[in-house]
Amino acid sequence: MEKASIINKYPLVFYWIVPVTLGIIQASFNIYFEILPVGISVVDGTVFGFLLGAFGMAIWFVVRYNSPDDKPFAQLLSSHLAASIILSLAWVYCSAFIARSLLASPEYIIYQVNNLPNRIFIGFIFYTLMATVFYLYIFYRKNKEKIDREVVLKQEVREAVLRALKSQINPHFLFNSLNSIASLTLTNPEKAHEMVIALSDFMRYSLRKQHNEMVALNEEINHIRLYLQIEKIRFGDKMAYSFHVEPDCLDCQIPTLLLQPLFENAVKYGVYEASEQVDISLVARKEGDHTVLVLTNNFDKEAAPVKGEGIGLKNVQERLRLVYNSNNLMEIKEEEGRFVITIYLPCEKKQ
Amino acid sequence: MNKIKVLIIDDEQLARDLLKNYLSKDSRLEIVGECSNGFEGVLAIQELKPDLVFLDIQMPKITGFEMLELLTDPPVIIFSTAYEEFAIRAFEANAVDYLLKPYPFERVQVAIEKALKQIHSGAGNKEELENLSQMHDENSELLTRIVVKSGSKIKIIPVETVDYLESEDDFVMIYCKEGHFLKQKTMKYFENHLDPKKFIRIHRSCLVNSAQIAEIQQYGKESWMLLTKNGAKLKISKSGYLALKVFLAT
Repeated sequence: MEKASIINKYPLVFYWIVPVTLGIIQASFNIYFEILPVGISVVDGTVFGFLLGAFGMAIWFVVRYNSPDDKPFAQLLSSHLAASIILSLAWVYCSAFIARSLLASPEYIIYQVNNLPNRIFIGFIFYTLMATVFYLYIFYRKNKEKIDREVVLKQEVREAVLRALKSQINPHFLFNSLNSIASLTLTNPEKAHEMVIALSDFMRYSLRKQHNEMVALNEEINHIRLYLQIEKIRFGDKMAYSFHVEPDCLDCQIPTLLLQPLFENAVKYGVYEASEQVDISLVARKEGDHTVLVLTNNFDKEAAPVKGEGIGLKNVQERLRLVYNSNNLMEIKEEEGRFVITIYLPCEKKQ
Repeated sequence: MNKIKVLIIDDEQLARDLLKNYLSKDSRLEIVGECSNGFEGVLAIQELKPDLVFLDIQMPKITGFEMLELLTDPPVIIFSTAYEEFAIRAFEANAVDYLLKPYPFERVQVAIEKALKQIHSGAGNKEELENLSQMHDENSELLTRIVVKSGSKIKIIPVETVDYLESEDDFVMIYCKEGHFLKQKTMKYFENHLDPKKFIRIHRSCLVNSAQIAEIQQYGKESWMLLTKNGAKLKISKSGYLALKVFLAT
């Protein structure tokens, strides 16, 4: 891992190691086997190495703009073939020209002419090597980006869940409920008793599920029943609720507290704002490998716009997107004074 | 001595029951009625003329604040709510106290003493109120609707449907699709509380909804007129013209 980070920081330094090494090998070879005098070998090796490196940098751009993701193989091969020939020839002739102008030795000129095919071959091999390394480098970088993105996405999921949980323990709901209990203790202690227990169970569930767990639909519904039971004590005849859940949906897995904000919404914009009775209903049924949840409530069409509408809904939508990686799992409709939310949950049963 | 007439306005039966229970312990008070929303509240206040009102804030149709705006000569108000965040607005609206649900009997007693003092002296805490109202003006929220009274009816006007507003002495006339309504507020108030991205002050006495602008015509060298989509002709001042130009350019 440490090596990788050094490469990331100084990619050019690492790149230059290859041509410089090749230049040194070339010079050492010529000196060792006494092919050329020492001075000439050093100059030749230096020019050879630096120009190889300089021309080699062009390979990076050829690789960058010839991604195997969006070009057919034949086209990739032909553009690399052309680039490798052009670069090798350009390198050989440039280095020959520069070295010759530095060293006016007939011996060296003969060496160069004899060595021409070798040099072109070396250029070609160098090109292949560097292109491979560059492709690997790009692949590695892309992979790392992908991993980073996944980390960010996971973070987002966690934050969305936290937000959902935060909106969960709505202080106004809590204090209004406590006020109702205070009232009931004086007038109807039995009902107060009932409400304290419902509120405790509700709070326990909200506080316990602190992770992005999946739970059975059944468990979620029990939780929502508690919520509605408490609101019903507060609002009496102003609200009614019903659940129609097909038995084979009961153990369908659903993100914890997903539905809670939707019911809060129905109460907030339906019951709070209406002077007539508001009915809230949930229907759950199987459709293929999806569980379909339909939440309906009527509302007072006369009621004027209230602030903050839609934030709860947006949170739920976002959560569905993050958990199931899909954008069209929730449908919101407003028809004839009724507000209908439909959710399509991909089904996964817990084994 | 006459008993103090008390009205309770709260949309929750249990909340009203609790207050009734508390208030019945004080023999100086007489509960003359209870209402479950702001509409009923306005009528009950006009009919029963209570001295003191216990008022909830979040209620169906119109909020406690909006209800208060409709009263020309409001009684002494004690707010009773689960919302902490409205305290400043509550005092701005001349409330003598602000009770946070759930509250004990002793806390209500304190509020009642304050209210009685104000009822008997007739004086308010004006100075403090002015400070508070200034504070509120600086960090206020934008209006989404305006509640007005038209005859015996109460109208709720969503701000999108407002064409323009014109000041008339101490009042502001609100022109909208369904006619025009008088509201006892200043132009400054509306300028501060309506979305500046939607409403432009085109004249000292006129604020116009930008979505309703149909045409701007030049009359003289430095005089312009604005035509709304509903055909109203409004005068544009020099600074109003500049504001319009900036607004339309962005």
